[in-house]
Amino acid sequence: VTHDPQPLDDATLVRFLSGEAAPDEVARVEHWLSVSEEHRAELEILKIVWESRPKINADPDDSMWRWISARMRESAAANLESTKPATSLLRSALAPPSRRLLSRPVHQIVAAAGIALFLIGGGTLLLRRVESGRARQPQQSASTMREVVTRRGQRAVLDLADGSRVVLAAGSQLRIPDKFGVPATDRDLYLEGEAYFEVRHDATRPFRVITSVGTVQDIGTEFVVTALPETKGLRVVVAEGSVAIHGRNAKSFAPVMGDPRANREPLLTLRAGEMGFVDSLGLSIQTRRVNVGAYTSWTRGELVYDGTQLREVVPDLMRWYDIDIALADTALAHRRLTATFSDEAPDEMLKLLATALDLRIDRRGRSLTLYPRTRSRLDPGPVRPPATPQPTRSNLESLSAEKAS
Amino acid sequence: MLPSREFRLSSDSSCSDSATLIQQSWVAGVRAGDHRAFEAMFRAYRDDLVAFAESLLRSHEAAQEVVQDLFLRIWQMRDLWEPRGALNAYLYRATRNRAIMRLRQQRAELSFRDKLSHVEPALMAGSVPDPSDSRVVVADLESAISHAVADLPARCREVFSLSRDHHLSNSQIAHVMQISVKTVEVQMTRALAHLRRRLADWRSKD
Repeated sequence: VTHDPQPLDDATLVRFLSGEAAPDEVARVEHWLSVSEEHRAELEILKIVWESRPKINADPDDSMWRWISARMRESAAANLESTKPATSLLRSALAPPSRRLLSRPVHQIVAAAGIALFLIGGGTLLLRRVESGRARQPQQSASTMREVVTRRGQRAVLDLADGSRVVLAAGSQLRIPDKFGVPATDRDLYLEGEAYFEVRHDATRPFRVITSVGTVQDIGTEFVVTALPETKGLRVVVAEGSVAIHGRNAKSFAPVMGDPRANREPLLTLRAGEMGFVDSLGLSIQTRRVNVGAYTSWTRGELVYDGTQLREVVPDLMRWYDIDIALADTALAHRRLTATFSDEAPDEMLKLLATALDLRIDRRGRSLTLYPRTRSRLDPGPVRPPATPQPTRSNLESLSAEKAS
Repeated sequence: MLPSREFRLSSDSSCSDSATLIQQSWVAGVRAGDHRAFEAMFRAYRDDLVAFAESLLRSHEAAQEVVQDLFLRIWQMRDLWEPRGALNAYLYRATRNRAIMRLRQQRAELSFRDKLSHVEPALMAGSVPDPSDSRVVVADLESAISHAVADLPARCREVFSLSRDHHLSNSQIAHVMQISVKTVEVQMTRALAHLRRRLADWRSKD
């Protein structure tokens, strides 16, 4: 190979064989071919190498499809059986669900007033009627609302009467006034927790998301609002269009019909690709550009982290997987995780987490404790006293977990 | 829409636009709960995905399980299922993620279970005979090629196979393996250099 008088570089040859070579590269290959019979023979062989290997039938007796279709029937049947009392209550209170809807693994519940609700993550959804008279917004006249509460491990998709869609994250609560969607009425929703909004814009009916920290008003858009306890404020990420954020006090927010709202100054206005943050007191305000996908991925069932500190990841995991997580060492909180959890079972997710951050996980039911896996703490070192006491049970466990990695 | 380069290597489908349309109709059908669309999609990808998973897992049964689990999961989550980009690249990536997860589990279980040193290599060993084994006599060109390919470093072999056997474009391979397009190109060049060397050896033996 080295004594070849006219070597041809491999990168050019790859492009030539793949039909991607530029004209001058083709010319070089043709020249190379013209130099010797040896080169032409080599190219003939490489062309064969470049052809695909024949396909094989991976499953001649069709057992894979039979396995899948059996599970499809099973999960449809299981959903019929797992109807829990609370769900029954819900169903009886609402339009009777059709057989087809019941048979779906993702529960679909058609709620009153044109709201369609899809529950992901199983279990039962809390849906109740509440009086909002003494609600956080004193200006709001007393009216009944429906309240949708997702538990940990659940997620709900709501198609609202006005054509807008809300994806409610785990451990969150959304209140929908009964008059929502009525023509010529403001579209106000009350959120605690996290939700993604795809708004059907209507300039005559402002769409607002009201949280304890402030109010997010859409200007024709898709956005994520996060007002979780650990957020310690209000976080808004805009995927499309733009939104305005108003503070919660009456001066900056006066939801009285007929107000010249355009004149009120918002705390901040966000455009697509931007994240805004307002702290609980409405004092600290920040805006920066972010990778929107990382903030909306949960609506597609993915949790995406890109150098995120563990202290921010842990509350998410607790909500999404319905587990409790404690950190054995506060230094762990600052370890940074880059990972995508898509549809992993909790065990798989934990294995990935342990591997990624070099952790040892102690598990008792749904309660987990994360330990740093630092060799120095486990390994007594090369100089071992001759009369070593028997290792304790917890030591042994640590060591075997160590080996498992 | 995907750039035209995406389809350059898919010599398999002579009409890429109609292939894309069919893929889109499958996705829409599955999301709407259409059993037939789901079955058609499964049958269209089954052989390729099992072959790909098998190349990673070195077990036909494990590969079948990974692929059937993936499709069941898609069906169960169909209301939320939104594959971004080309469907085939999505399915390869999902298959790969699941295969790698399974490999990690196997490794963890194995090292837990016993310390028998022969178990771990067996997991990683190929189903084809080790080409570096001098006892293997390579007679014809076909088996010389398959030995040379099998002897590629794992990552290099994966890139090469996705490109040549599965007709994925470089950018699709980059998406599937979560590496840069540049890395795909480098691995393809490495693969070719390796194959040229090995096959030159084979020819000189004649």
